Amino acid sequence: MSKLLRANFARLLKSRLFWLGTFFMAALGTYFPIQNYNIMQKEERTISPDGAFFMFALIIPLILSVFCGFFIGTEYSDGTMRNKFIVGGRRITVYMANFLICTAAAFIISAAYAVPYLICGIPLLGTFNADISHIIVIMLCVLAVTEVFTAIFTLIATLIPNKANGAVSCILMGLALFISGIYGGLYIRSSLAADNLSETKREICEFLYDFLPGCQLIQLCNMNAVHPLRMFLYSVFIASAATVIGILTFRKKDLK
Amino acid sequence: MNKLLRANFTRLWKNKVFRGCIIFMFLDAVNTVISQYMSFKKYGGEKELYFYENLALGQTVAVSIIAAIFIGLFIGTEYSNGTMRNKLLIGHSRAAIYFSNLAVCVAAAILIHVVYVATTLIGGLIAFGSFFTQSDVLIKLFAVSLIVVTAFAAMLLPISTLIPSKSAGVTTVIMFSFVLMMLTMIINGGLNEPKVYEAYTIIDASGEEISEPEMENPFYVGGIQRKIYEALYDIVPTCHAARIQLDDMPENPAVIPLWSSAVIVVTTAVGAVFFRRKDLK
Repeated sequence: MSKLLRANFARLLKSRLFWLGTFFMAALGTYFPIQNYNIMQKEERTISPDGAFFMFALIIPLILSVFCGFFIGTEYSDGTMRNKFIVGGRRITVYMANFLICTAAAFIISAAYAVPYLICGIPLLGTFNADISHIIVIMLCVLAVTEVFTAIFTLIATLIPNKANGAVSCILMGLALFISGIYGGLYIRSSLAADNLSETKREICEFLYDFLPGCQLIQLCNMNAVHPLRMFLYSVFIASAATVIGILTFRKKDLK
Repeated sequence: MNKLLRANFTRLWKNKVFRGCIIFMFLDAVNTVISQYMSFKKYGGEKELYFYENLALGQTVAVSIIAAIFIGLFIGTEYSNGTMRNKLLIGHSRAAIYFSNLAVCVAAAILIHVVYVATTLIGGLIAFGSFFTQSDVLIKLFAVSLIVVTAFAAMLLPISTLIPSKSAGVTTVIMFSFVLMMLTMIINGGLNEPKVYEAYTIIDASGEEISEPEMENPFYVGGIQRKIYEALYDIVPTCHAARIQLDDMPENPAVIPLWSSAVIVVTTAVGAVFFRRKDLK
């Protein structure tokens, strides 16, 4: 496992796509506070750094969908996967090593946004309005939901050996979760705001609003998560379920 | 050229991705009609408003993403399966290959679009009993939307043709289309911001009068940025699609077809020239 992880990390650090994603997020993390500072100067009003800090939660799934599809797809197309089995790697180890490397990439890309944001944002916009404990809780939820996306993309990319088909499936899944999160979130929120909703329907809507990864993103990027603990646990559950399903299917898969 | 066209269309009819796109658009159309009809039954009101929201040309922007998936995979397969090499080996010119690919991609994009339009129109007619518009207006808008959809295909084809790696090509085409869609949302949102918020007075529950003076809208887009937004809103095909979809047509109705045609000509010329010079190994 440690050898696989080391090899994967070496590949990660040489991956152009990974660096492109990292630089893109770092550029966004620098742009948002500077842009808000310019507005603040022009309009003579205060903008706290809270507003755009968690915006990266919305973009990360799209970047991950491209990264995971390509990173794991290349293992098949370049024969890396076959080599790993020939030298005696077990399927569960290969799967977990890939999952962990995609998780590491996700966290590094997230940090690439958050760190420049804090470095530019706090001197320009001042300190956060929200409590530090609240920010940490939201950050943990964001990382957990990022883990959900990583688990889903790893599952898809590992089970589809054709690189192009795997990459397209990951991107489409990413877009579907992103768009359904925005529209589904708006629909559920408007349903919850209606007075005539029956108790059962209200409970279903509340559950979906906290359970679906896309809806979680909408709540987290605005920092207005009502049930953060529940969301965190749902994310852990979905990520674990996707990983277990992925490992079981991958173990039985005919890799030719 | 004829042989290339025949071969391409034979591949098109057998293509599973194309069939998948058609089925997706059909199901999307049926779902839209049913949900609009359910909303009408639940909330009542003017049938016309429900008909106009999302039916007929209400999904033109989405065609760009669906067409991108098809074009990326269809052209990428030409490279990965060696079809492109075979075509060149038996003596077809690169221009003929490019234009025959363009024809099949345009046909596919138009068919994907037409499936949605036809299904929602027939479904809407059954559910609401009328088209609620004069047929000539609908036909004109539909004709404009066909030019816009052609522009989508013409714009996406060069990207796919100039990237021989199937996976890289298809990813780039889909992401490009997605970025244009996001850009359209940003431009449309920015241009719709009012310059000032009107002054208003309301009386709250306790009978107290609350007044707010006229305020400048901080999100109003002005100056050079507005000019750039307006230019892009006139030029970019996904913005054209959004304008058709949102019934936000310019004062001069020729603007959209003319700019879309310009996009078709420029992107096709650029694509064909670069494809002729490309080292295909």
